[in-house]
Amino acid sequence: MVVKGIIKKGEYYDSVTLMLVARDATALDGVKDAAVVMGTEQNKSILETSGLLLDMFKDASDSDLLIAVKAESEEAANKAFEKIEQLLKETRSKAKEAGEYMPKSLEGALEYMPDANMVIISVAGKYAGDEAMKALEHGLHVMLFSDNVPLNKEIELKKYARDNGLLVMGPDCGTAIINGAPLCFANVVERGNIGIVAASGTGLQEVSSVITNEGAGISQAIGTGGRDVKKDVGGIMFIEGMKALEEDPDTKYIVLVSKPPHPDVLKKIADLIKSEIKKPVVGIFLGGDPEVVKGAGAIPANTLEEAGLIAASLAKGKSLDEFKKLLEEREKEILAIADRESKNKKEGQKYVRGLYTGGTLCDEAMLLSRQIIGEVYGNAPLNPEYKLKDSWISQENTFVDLGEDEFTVGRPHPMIDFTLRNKKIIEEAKDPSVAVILLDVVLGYGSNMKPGEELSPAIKEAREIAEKDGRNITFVASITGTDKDPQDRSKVKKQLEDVGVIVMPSNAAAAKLSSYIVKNLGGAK
Amino acid sequence: MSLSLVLKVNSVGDQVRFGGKHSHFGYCEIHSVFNNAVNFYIKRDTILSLVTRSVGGGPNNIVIDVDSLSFVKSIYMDKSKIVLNDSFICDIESSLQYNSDLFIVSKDLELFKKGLGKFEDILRKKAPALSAAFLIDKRRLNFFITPFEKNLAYSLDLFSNEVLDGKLESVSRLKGLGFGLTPQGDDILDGFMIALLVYEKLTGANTGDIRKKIFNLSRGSNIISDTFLYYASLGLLYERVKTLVLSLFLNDPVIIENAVSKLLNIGETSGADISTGFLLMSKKLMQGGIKWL
Amino acid sequence: MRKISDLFKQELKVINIGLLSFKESLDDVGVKVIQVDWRPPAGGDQEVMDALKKLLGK
Repeated sequence: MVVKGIIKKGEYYDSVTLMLVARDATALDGVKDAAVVMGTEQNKSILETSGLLLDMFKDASDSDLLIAVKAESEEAANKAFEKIEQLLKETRSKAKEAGEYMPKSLEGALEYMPDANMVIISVAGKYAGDEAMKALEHGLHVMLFSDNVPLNKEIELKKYARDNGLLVMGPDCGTAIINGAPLCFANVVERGNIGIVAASGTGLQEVSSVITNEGAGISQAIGTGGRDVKKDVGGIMFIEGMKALEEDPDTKYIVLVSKPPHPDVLKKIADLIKSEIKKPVVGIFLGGDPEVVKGAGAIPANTLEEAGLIAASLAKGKSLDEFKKLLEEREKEILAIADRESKNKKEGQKYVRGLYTGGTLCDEAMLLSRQIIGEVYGNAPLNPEYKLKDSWISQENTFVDLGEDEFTVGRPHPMIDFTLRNKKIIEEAKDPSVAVILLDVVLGYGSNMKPGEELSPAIKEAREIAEKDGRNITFVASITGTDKDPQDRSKVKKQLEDVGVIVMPSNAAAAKLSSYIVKNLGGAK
Repeated sequence: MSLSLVLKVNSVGDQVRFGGKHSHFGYCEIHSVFNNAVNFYIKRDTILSLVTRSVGGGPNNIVIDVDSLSFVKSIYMDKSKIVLNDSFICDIESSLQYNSDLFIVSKDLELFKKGLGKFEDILRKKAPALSAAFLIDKRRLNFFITPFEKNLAYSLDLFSNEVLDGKLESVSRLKGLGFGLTPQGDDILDGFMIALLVYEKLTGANTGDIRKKIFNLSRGSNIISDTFLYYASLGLLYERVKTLVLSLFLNDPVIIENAVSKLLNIGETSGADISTGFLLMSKKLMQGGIKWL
Repeated sequence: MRKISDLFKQELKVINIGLLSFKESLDDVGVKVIQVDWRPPAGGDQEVMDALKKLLGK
């Protein structure tokens, strides 16, 4: 057993910081005890009781910081010092940048920032509702990231917000862009004149990224949470969000993104478009009938990509016909790649495996694939008859949403932690019937910061497994995000292309390409 | 000075003197910079604090109307103003004075006891895990994990109870005990003295000498701790503490809750540690169980 | 009467209650944000919380 120490002069920290730093050091392998304290006589006596008092500490004064570590080996002790130094350094730089003042409550925060106008809440659902109501009562807009907020609480919050001219985004709202600021899981997009109201988080990310990548921009992107457009909540915030965008002089075009709303809600949306909305509206209700969107007075889109492209075309002053031409060209390109990729497959290779991290993107992919190759299996399939018996074992054409609860219990979301999907990629590569592996990569704040680095090794390994068996698997991916995202879309695209992945401009294009390959190979139903 | 901006001064503590014995002309040595407070020296032996609104007034506080003070790199002072970073001017001469004396109109001990009860309930629930609140709720000892932390908790418990039982020598063993710039032991002692002061205001008993004794026994080389203990010994309170003490006489749980929340926002555990000391000593005094009074 | 669209004319200033990473990403893009050191009220027990609410007359 060794005891080692360091003295630091003129450094001051709050008590909890020091306790937590010592605790983190104690948690390291081979470390028995650690203390980081001011060098008062009294603290020295406790160091002594704890067997941590060193001769070097005896002359230290009240204003010196003492660091003591008891460990099984010299090496473990040094590791502990490194950890402590690093944590203290982080604390210092954080304190410098953002300050270390952390109020304990919303009221405390308001005292500090009286002109705050938005509260983001991501605490456990059972408390989140109360915190949200408190925020509303203080006249603050709310982004409610938490899920598991009771339905009646959601209705109460949204009614109160509507009556008081406030936003409640969520519960279970993963993303929004307000005044150019990406909130929670959002992408860094260009500012512009396209406003979005979305009841689907990843849907919003995909549409806003497509718009940015097309050279147009976003004014505001309001998330409502998926439950908003269902019968019980009745689209309260979806409607209020649309009204707000209509009033906003910086918004010239409005895009609506959702799964098909309840008919009552849809009627409200249609009535609003007819009566109050003067700006052009583009609507994508995934899995819904485009005619219904048309009937509601909006320009219908078939995919998230299309919704983004239409809005971007309008914003750039192009006509819908020009847009249609663009779409046709893209479709031709997809077919050409599909033909090329169908040629290098071994007998029996004919299925696609979609491994998704974004639920909405998975839904969209299944909807598009169904039109080309018929029903597909999954853990959350469109047709309940095609539900996998075991979500871990794919069959024929399969799309799994790895963000479903069954996969995420006890681990971070697959957009953040790639371990699970990487394992699946390698497993799928062992299946001789697999021709295509389809992936979504979602960038932006909150997501995995190094998707290229973390995906590439798994893809390489999967390729090698197949090649040993004389097979060639086509990897298709879409990247939801922009070059301004912290991960940088172009960089990630390059990294994936370097390991032979075909990166498509959108999820819809990636899903279509995969399906056409399967169709060519005879893997359709 | 290339750029001059005037920052609003909300209040200047009544112990901050300009132009008198403690006046200082020129640049001041900075002791420590936090987001919401900058501590700096006057003549080596006195500490003044520039603080944000969220911290509030105090005998030696200068409250500046800004969100954060972490930008402060230099402090220049003369008899009428303070200049930060050679650019930001804080006009002291025309600012309001914060009065750190405590006036309690009520002499109602029962009301005070009731207020203490509510205060204790809130503290048990809201105090941060690693604060001294384990002294009033033993279940909180579970928060102390490493051998060193356990030894620390044991010593805090032992010495604070010895002081409460009238063993004044233990003051010097409690002082300096714990983590941080103002160790838990110092904050507990601060709370003890505040309780003694309140008791004096309520009953007329003289606690001034004991407070001075406690301060003298506790003096060390931590100038920040020594400064606030010194003011407590003189019966001069910081705004947040004063607000809490007064709230206890208002018989309104919401007001008490708000006052406790504000106090708990001081430092990481300081607010809770002061609160714990105050509560323990107040309860002792209300039971009439203090020998050395 | 306040309107949602008024928000779009103001500088966004955020209070973050919960995951610290949401604050850090806003720091990154230069949005003013303050983190609340939030703890479950009354030690996380729903019953105690309800009782506390009653106590506070809410």
